[in-house]
Amino acid sequence: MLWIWHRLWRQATPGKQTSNEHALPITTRLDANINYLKKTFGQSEDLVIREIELPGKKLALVYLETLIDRDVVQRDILRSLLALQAIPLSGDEAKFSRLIRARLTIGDLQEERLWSKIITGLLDGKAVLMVEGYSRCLLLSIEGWEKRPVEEPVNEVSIRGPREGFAENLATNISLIRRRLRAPELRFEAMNLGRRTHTKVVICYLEGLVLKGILEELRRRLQRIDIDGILESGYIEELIEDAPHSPFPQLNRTERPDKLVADLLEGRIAVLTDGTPFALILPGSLVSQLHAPDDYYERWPLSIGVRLFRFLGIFIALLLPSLYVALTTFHQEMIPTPLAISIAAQRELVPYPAVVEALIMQVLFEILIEAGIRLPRAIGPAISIVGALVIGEAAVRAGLMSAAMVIVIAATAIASFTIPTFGLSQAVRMLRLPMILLAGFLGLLGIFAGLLVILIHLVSLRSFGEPYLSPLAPFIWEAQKDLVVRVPWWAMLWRPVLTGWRDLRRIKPGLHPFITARDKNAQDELETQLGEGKGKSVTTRKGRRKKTRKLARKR
Amino acid sequence: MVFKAGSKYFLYVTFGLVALLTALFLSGCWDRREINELAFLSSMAVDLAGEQRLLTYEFVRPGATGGGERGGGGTLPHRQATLRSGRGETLITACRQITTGLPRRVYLAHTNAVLVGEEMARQGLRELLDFIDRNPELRRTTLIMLTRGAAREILIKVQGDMETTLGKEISGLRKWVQSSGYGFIPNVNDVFFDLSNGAGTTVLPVLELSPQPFPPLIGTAATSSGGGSRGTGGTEGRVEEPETVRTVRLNGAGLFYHDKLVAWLDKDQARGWAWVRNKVRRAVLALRCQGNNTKVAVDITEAHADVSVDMQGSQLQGKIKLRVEGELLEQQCNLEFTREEAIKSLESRMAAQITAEISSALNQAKMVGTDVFGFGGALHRQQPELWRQLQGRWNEEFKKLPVTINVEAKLRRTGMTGRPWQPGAR
Repeated sequence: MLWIWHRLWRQATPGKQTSNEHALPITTRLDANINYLKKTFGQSEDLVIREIELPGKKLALVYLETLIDRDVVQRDILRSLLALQAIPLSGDEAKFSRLIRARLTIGDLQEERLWSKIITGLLDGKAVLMVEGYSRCLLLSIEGWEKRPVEEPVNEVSIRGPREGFAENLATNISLIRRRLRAPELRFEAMNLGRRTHTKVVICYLEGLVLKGILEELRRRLQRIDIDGILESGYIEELIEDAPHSPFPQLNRTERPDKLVADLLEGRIAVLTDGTPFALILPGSLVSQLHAPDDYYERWPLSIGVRLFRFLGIFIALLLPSLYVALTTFHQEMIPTPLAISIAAQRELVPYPAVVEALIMQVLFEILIEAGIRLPRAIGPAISIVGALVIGEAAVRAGLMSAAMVIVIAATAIASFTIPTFGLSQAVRMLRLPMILLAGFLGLLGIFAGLLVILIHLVSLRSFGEPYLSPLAPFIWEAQKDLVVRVPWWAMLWRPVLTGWRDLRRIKPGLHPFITARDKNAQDELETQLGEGKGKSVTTRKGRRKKTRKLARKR
Repeated sequence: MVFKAGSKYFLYVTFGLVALLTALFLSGCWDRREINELAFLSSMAVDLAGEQRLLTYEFVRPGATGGGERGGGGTLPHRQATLRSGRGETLITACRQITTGLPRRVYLAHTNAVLVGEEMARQGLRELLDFIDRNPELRRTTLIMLTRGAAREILIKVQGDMETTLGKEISGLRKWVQSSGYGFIPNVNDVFFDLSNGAGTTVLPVLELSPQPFPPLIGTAATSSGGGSRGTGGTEGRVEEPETVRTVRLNGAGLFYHDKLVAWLDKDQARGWAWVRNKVRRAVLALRCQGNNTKVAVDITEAHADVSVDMQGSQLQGKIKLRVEGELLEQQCNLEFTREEAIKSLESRMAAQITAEISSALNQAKMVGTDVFGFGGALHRQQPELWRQLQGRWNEEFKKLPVTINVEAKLRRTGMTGRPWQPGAR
C-alpha cells in the first residue's frame, strides 16, 4: 500500500523541495548517506547513528530511539552483527544481502534504495542498516513504543460482554479483531494518510461478504484525502462522509472490538486509525446506532424490553422539553386538570414565558455537561454538587424556574444518555434547542413541522449508498427481526439484506433448542432444497433474489 | 462554501428565513398564552335574573393549590377557589362582563361542572347547550347538574371539605355516586345524545347543599403548637367556627321534556329511574324482616334492565324487565338465610321494593308525559313504522302507555357466614 502513500506524497507537495529530494536513491558512500540523514532530521535528539566496523566493511545502524524497542536492537541486531565478525564480507551485493538475511535475527526486513522510503521507515520506527559500498540499505522492523494496555471501553460500557476496548495502537487493535475473527477472509488494507503525520489507516472487511461497490467507493474517498495531519478518526469521518452538513453521524463509531466484528459479519467495513481508540464502521445507519452489544448477549425477551425503553429514550430526549413548552403555552386543555393547575401554581412566580425558561435551563444544562467532561477529576464532584444545588433547588426557590421544568429537563437529560452512541446523543441534544424554539413559537404545529424536517432529512440521508434509515425507510420486513425487537439467534436466519446479500444465510435453519422430529424432517427438506452452494440459498426466496439483484444493479 | 447571491445555499437560507417569518406573522391563530396567566374555571352556575342571564364562575385560586410546597398539615383543605359573577342579556355577554374584573384570561377547557338553576332549567337548556357546543374551549365531557332554586346559591355557600374546589368535588362524586344507586351525573354529551333522539327527554340529577356537623379539627393541636406563641389552654379557638359545614350531595333528579324542566323525582324515584336505564352499579335495599319491625340489608351487586314495547292487540304495552343479584350484608332480625324459603321470600321482597321504586318514578314521568325510560327508543328499534306515526304525539301516547314491571331478584350470597351468630352459641 505504500504506493498509495507515495502517490499521495507526490501529488500532495508538488512544489516542495522534499518530495523531489527524497525521491533520489541512496549513494554507495556511507559518509554521504549519514550526512544526508543528519541534514534531513536536523539536530534531532532521538536520532541515533551507530557506526560499526566489521572486518572489511563499515556499517551504520540508524534509528529514532523513541520509536524502537531497545532490547531488540541490542539483543537481535547488534549481537548478530558482531557475530558476523568472523566471516569476511565480500563485495557482491547479492551475496551480502543473503548473508545478512541469514544471520540477522529479525523477523521483518526489507531492502530499499529510495530516500523517501527510508525516511518513512525511520519515522515508522524501523532501523536502517546501511553498508559502505552498497546501493541499498536494509529496513529492520524493531518498532516498539509506549502504549496503553488494552482496557475496558470507557464510553460504550456493557454489562455482559467482553471487557476489551480498542487502544490507540493500531497493531493492538488489529490483533484484537484478528483474535475474534479467525477467518482467512478477513482483510486488512493499510494506507498512510496525512502529509505530515503519516497516520496509518487500515480498512478492514470480510472478503466475500463485503459489497465491492462500497469498498471501492471507500478506497476512492480515502485516496482523495490530502490533509496535513490526521489526529483522530474524526478527521477521516468528516472527509469521507456523504452529507457534510448533517448533524447525524453517518458512520458508526465504536471502541468495542466485539461490536466491530459483529458489523464485519454483517458485511460492513471498518476503518481503523492509528492513534485512535475508535473505529469507524460503514455504511452507518441510525438504527444500528441505537443497538447496544448487550442486546445480543442478554436474554432476548428482556433485550426487547430494554430496546423499547431505549427507543422511547430517544424520543423523550428529543421532544420532552418542547412538548412541555407547547402544552403549557398553547394546549393547556391537553393537560389533566390537576396537573395543569399545579403547573400554573408552580409558574406563579416565574417571570418569563415557558420557552425562555426551557431555553435557559437547557443551555445551563448543556454547559454543565460540557463542564463535566472538561473538568479535571478532582473538581468534578464539586461541579456536580453545585450544578445539582443551583439548578435543582435554588433556582426553584428563587423563583427563576418552576419545579416542573426542572423535572422535565432532568428527565430529558437522563433519557438522552440512553442512546448508546455519543455521536447520536449529541445530535439529539443539539436538535432539542430548535425544537424548543419551534414549540415556543408554534406549539404542537411547530413540533410537527420540526419533526417533519428531521424526518425528511433522515430519509434522504445515505451512508455510502445505503439509506440511513435502512430497514425502516426502505421497509424491509425481514430486517424487522433486529430492529426494535431482537429475535433469538436461532430465528435470525438472514443477514441484513442491504449489506449482507452476498451471503444471506446466517444460521442453519432449525436450530431451535426444542427441535421435534417433524421439525427435523422439515429442516432436512429445506436443506436439500437449499442445495449446497452459497449462491443457491438466495434462490429460496424469489422476492429476496429480485430485491438483491435490483440493488446489485444499482450499485 | 460559496455564500453569495444566486448560490444554492443562499437560496435555501433565504427561503427558510422567509418561510419562518411568514409563519410567524401571517399565521392566524396565534394563541400563545402562558399557563400561569390563565384563570382556570372549575365550575360554573347558570341562572336567570329576570330577563338577564347570571353567570357565576368558580375559579381555582392561583397558587393556592398544588405546587407541593405547603405540606398538608392537619387543617382542612379550605376551598381554594374564588368566585366571580356577571350578568348580561346573553350568556356570552355575562361571561365578558366577568372579564372586566378579572386579571387573567378566563380558561374554560378545564371546567368540571355546570350547575343549572331551576328557573333557567324551566325556561329551557337550549341556549346553554348551544353556548357550550359553540365554545371551542368548553368540552362536551363537562358534567351538568340541576339545582333547586338558584344555582349560584350553591357555588356561594358551599364550603371546602374534602376537595379544594366544587368542580373537583363533583367530578369525584360522579365516580362514586353510582355505587349507591341513587344517581348518576351526566355530561353535556349525554344530554345532547338524550335530547337528540326521538323522545327528546333527559334526566338531570339535583345537587343540593347538605349541612354536615362540623368535624372536629383533627391534628390542629400540632399545628397551633407549631405557632408556639399562644397559651396552652387554647379552647377558645373553636368558638367562632360554624357548627355545620355546607357540603353538597345528590338528591333526586329533574325530568326534562325536550329541553325544559317539567317535574322532579325524589331520591328513591331517581333510583327507580336509574334501575331502568342501567345506571345502577350497586345499591343497598333495606327490607323489613318477616314478622317484626327490624330490617335486613341487601347489597345489589348486579342489575340489568331491558326495556321493550309490545303490541297487544291494538294496544301498546311497555315492558320493563329487570334482573338483579344481591348479597346479604346485614340483618337485625336474626333469621337463618340458609333455608330456601327464607331466601325466596327475601328475593320477592327485594323485587317488590325495586318495583315500587320504578313504578313511582314511572308515574311521575307519565304525569308530565316525558319518556325518560326509553320506551320511545325501544319502539323505534322494534317497529320503526309505527314509531314514525306516533313520534309527533309520543308524549301523549306515553301518558297512556300501560307498563308491566318484571323484576327478577336473586340472592346470591349471604356474606361470610350462613347462620347468624348467637351469644353463647357454642
